[in-house]
Amino acid sequence: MTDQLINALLVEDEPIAAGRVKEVLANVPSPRFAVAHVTRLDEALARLGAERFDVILLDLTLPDHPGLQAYHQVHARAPSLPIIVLTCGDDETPALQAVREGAQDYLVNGEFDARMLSRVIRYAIERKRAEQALRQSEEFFRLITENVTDLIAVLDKDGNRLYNSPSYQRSMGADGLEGTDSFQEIHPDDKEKIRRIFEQTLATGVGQRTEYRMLLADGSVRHIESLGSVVQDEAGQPCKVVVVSRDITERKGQLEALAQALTELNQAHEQLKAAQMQLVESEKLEAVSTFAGGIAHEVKNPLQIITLGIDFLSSCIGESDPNAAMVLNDMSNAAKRADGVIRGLVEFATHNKRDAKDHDLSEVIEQALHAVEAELRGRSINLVKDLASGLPTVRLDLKTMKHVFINLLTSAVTAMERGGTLAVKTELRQLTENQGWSDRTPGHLKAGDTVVVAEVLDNGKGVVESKLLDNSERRYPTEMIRKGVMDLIVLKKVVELYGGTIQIMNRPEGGVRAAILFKVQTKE
Amino acid sequence: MSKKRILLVDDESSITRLLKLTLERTGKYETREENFGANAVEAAQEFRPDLILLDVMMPDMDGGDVAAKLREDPSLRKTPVVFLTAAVKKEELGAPDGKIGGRTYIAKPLDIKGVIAVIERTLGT
Repeated sequence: MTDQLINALLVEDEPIAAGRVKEVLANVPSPRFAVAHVTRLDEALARLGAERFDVILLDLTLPDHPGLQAYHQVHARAPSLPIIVLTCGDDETPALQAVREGAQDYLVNGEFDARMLSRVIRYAIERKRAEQALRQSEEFFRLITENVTDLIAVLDKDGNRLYNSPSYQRSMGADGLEGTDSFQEIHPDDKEKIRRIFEQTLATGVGQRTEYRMLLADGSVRHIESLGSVVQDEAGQPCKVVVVSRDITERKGQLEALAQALTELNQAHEQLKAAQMQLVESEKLEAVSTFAGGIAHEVKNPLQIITLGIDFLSSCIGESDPNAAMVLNDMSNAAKRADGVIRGLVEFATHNKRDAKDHDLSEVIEQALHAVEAELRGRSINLVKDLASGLPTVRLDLKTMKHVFINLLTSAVTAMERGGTLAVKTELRQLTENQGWSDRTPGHLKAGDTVVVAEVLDNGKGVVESKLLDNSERRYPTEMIRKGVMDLIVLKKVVELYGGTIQIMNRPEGGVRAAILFKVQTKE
Repeated sequence: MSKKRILLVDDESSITRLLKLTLERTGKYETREENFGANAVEAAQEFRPDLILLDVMMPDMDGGDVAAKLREDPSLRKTPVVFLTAAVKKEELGAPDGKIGGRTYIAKPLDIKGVIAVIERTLGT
């Protein structure tokens, strides 16, 4: 500071006092002072607006502006300049008041020498500079805390709020938080955890990042992430905790949405895989049916030869050999049976486009019933419908399965030549050990499986035991062939292609019960 | 009553032979076998049948084409043709000896009683 020139503005109406100050300052060897002397306040204000000064020496006994009035005006004009108040020894009260309001120091006229005045001025400048720096720094941090979106709170050792950044007001709508308990808005389920962490933070001096929920006055819940830091007092004891928090509700929502999207993506992927499998399956079906159709036609000519051959031999032998006639009759029946199977195969094959989709079995039956309506009307048959609604869907080709049911219905109707009751029923059922259908549990169905069951019951003639599907003889009522309905064996295979099972049995009360079961696929 | 003349056209000689044997056994029919579709018209011109049993699917000539050629000859145009077919169409399933598109069909296999029934119905005997 040795080579520094300090520009001082001296505001003093008393010529003697002013002369004394100037004289004293002139005698200071270092730093050097340049003194601008004015006698009136308005003059002082004018010069402050026009020139640069380092310090103001202000007399508080100006005649036009006595006392603090002068100080207020000068300070208002040059708030960043240090002001040293000069006063006479009579009353130091206004000078003290000025110091309280921001003046750096005061001097009593005639009671200072060069060294003292020089020191007072230099200290005043330094103090003012430090004050300015502090204020700027405070302003800087205030700007930060007031503009961050993060939530900044200062809490005392009991968790009471000492300070809350304005962001609390902006993001939580919380106002007047100072002095309140910071735990009160924490969600009841999280409160204990957060109190524990707060105490640990105080005890160890190390903050922890933690997530919890806040329950706001309007009932809404916000997800918050917080990190606390301990502030220590002069004795090194923790006295405050600064908590920086962030509202992560939106982020959490986004994460959840992302997780949801991921789940959906996985599901879609699974469905796609299933659809691909289905496609492969249906292509296989397509190939199988084309193949079956081709083979069927090739078998027709040999069957024709056998049929005509049997007819010819029968006419040759006539009634002369009863055994031979019986054998020929058996052969004839066998040929008819083979023809039945072939017809079924061809029929199955001629459904050219198979398209497996999710269907309600009750609706499939409704459509099949519609197709045989005319047939029913012609006979005195009483139709009893008991179709469940809202059944789990089954993946199948509508046309094919409709055809299967038309066959079962036609077969039942045909069996009731003299009329009767045709019952159709669908239901959801859980398989128990003994279903009462058959002694043999079909391979892929087991006790405990949930199945969709469709039943067609008639009280017609029934089927002789050996003609039931479960019997290894695998025969069928010949009426079916005459009516051109699909052979039961083919029906069974078709149902199995779609993962179903067909069961046919005589009812104890007479007639036949035909049931088709599909396992309900539980979707995970 | 004179015997009805039936021309049997099928590439399977077993079928024509058995038809011939069984039909002629009834004593009501006189038959001639022809195992090539392409020769059917010539055979018909020679044999002058009252009815032609004609296989649809033959390797050398399709039954439909044979029928068309028969129609080109004015002397054969009125001779009834009954098709034998291994093709199973939906409509035929309920009626193995039905009519499709105005033509009479026999869906294989049909026993001789069925065949004779169709022949008699067609000839109006």
